[in-house]
Amino acid sequence: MADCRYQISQGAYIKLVLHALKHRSLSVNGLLLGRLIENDGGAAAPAVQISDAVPLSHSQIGILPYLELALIQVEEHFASEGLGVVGYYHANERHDDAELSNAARKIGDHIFRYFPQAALLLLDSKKLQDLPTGKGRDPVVRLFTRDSSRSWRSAGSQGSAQLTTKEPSANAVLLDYISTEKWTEIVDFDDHLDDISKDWLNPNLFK
Amino acid sequence: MATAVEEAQLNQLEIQVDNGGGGAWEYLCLVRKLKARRSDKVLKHGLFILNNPRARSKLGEEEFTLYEQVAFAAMDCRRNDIAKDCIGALFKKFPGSIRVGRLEGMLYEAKGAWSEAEKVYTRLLADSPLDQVILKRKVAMAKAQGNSAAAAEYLNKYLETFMADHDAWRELAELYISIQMYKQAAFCYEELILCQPACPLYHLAYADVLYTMGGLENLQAAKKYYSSTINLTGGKNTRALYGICLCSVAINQLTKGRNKDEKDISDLQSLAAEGLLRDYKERAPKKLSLVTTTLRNIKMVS
Amino acid sequence: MAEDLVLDTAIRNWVLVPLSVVMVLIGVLRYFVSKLMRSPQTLDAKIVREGQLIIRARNLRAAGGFIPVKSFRARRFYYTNEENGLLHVPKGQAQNPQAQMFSDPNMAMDMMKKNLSMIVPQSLTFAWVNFFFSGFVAAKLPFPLTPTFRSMLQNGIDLSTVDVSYVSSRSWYFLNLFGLRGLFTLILGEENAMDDTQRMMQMGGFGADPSKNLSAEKDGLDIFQHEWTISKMEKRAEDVLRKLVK
Repeated sequence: MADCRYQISQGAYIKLVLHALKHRSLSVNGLLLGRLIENDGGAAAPAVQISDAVPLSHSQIGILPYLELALIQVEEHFASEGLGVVGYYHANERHDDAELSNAARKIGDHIFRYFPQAALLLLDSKKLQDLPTGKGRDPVVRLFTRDSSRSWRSAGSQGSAQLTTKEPSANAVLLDYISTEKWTEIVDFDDHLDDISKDWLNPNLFK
Repeated sequence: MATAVEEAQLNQLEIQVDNGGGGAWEYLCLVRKLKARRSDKVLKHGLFILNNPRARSKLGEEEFTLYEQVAFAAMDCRRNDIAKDCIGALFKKFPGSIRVGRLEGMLYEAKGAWSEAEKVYTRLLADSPLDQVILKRKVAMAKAQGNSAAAAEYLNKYLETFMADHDAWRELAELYISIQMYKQAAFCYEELILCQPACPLYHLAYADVLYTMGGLENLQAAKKYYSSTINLTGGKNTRALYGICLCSVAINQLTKGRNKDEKDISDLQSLAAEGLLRDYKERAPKKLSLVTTTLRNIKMVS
Repeated sequence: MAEDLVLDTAIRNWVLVPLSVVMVLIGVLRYFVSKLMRSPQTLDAKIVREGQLIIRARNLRAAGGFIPVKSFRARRFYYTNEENGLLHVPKGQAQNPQAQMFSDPNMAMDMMKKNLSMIVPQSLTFAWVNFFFSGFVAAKLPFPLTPTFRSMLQNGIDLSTVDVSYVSSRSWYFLNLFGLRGLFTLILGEENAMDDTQRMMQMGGFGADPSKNLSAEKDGLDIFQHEWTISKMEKRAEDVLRKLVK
């Protein structure tokens, strides 16, 4: 089960990074939507395709009611598209904090119960900072996975589970979005609750 | 907190200044008055004035206020070199001042030199042990180092003396939530409600914490506080309406199978759901069907 | 009074105007002198704490109904229990402010400075006005007044037949003394203006006993009946929503 590839689409990837950039001084989180593709015929490992992200919150990650609400609504919405919640992303409040916080772990555990291949992405601020200078194609997030016996571990150290972006040019596109300050437009579930005319799906972000 | 009018005024002035329309000093004064955090703009326009000897001399004594403001902004924008120059100028003018000393400590903080900053603050506190800004800086420093527990401890110590400082209570509440100490956070929100009983935000936050703690008693209390939020906001708060629905669902789950006569006979939850649907119909018709189905799934509307 | 008194213009030029100008100048001067003499205020942790404690206890009494009974009881116990409650002042420990003042020379010094900046210029100007301008009718108010104002407006003139709308020079001095606050706010800025009335009030306020406040708050809390107002909120919220939905 640990041998699972993770592929994130450009749209989801950009959304989560922009969300973190909009609230630089706060911790933010959100849900990852996608599906599991089992290659039972071939030798390839099963892959989790993350095709969309829903930004959730930028204040008080530790509060339950709105998280529950968001989970209910997001699942309901994406069920019609055949997508489910496959993971969770988190960006820490502090720039130099590369640890997975307790709250993030707990939310991850919850998703894990329903989707055992759940991915937990943590924004890597160092990599994000180096993004304009580097030419790397690696996503600026770190992947954590978990199997039933152990707790969340950073993946990639054993090379078993890896996160790649679906489009190789994702980082270049991301840079473009960053330089045009697109992050001001991103709307998360928190914003939606404050003003319900704002749509947490961000349908206009990529237009 | 700035009112909407002041905010609009600030934005207007910002546009004017950005387009070279003058009024930079007025803009900076307004930012200071409203305690707005627009460091990049303050740094840009403040530096412009400071680098222009004529404009600077026009300010007179206010020049040093500007130095301080620019120093803060520079530290916020990670331009420690500029901050250092500003603080140097202030140091020359006011040697031994506590206010400049604070800036010095903050500069160390900005550089991440925690032990030096600590030393500066300790020295300043020896002279004036009740300096609120410095005591708060120590909290912020612990937080910046990722040590939430220590930050909470410092804040508690601060609140032992300044126990009517409700901003500090709020910070402490948020701090406790971030380390999942909900009981303590609830205490802080109680304190805030006592302080400003007519502020719906605190009722809402208290209800949120109670809901997060769970348990029948807490859930029932949470529902009551969501209700009082509705009262205080005239039913306009989406969060409170959702909160009522979530609480009723959770309470129903907990009391399911128990004696039936205890069952809630009030139709608060269905009213809340109706209120939600009405809101969505008016302001976000695209989401209406989704909300309707989710509410139906949790049996809030039939 | 059939015929009006005619006031000499020289009175305006040499009494009315100079008096006002001098009063303003003295006010400004006094502000700067007191600013120079003001010693940096050192706060005592205990006093700050007690002040804040009283605010907090008062909040609890005013808004106690907004928190659950359990939380209220815990707080009340914390404040008022007889062993180490915050509001509990052990008998005999209550400090006499007078004694406190003499035990702390700084405090006495501060008070003296305050007094100096207030009393010295005030008595000097009063003497000056009395000496040079006593007995003038300095101005005439453009509106009639009842005789009750005589003592206020015609201080220093012992004539009962003069119309009350005439202002004597000494009264003009007093009017200026108490009425220039608005002007000082203009000259010195919002916070710095402080007229003599306020100064006097400050003096009067000195010497209040904080421990008395504490025990008063304690008694208030002890007899406070807690009633959880929030428990009625569900009903009221229903009404609010019903109105809204309709």
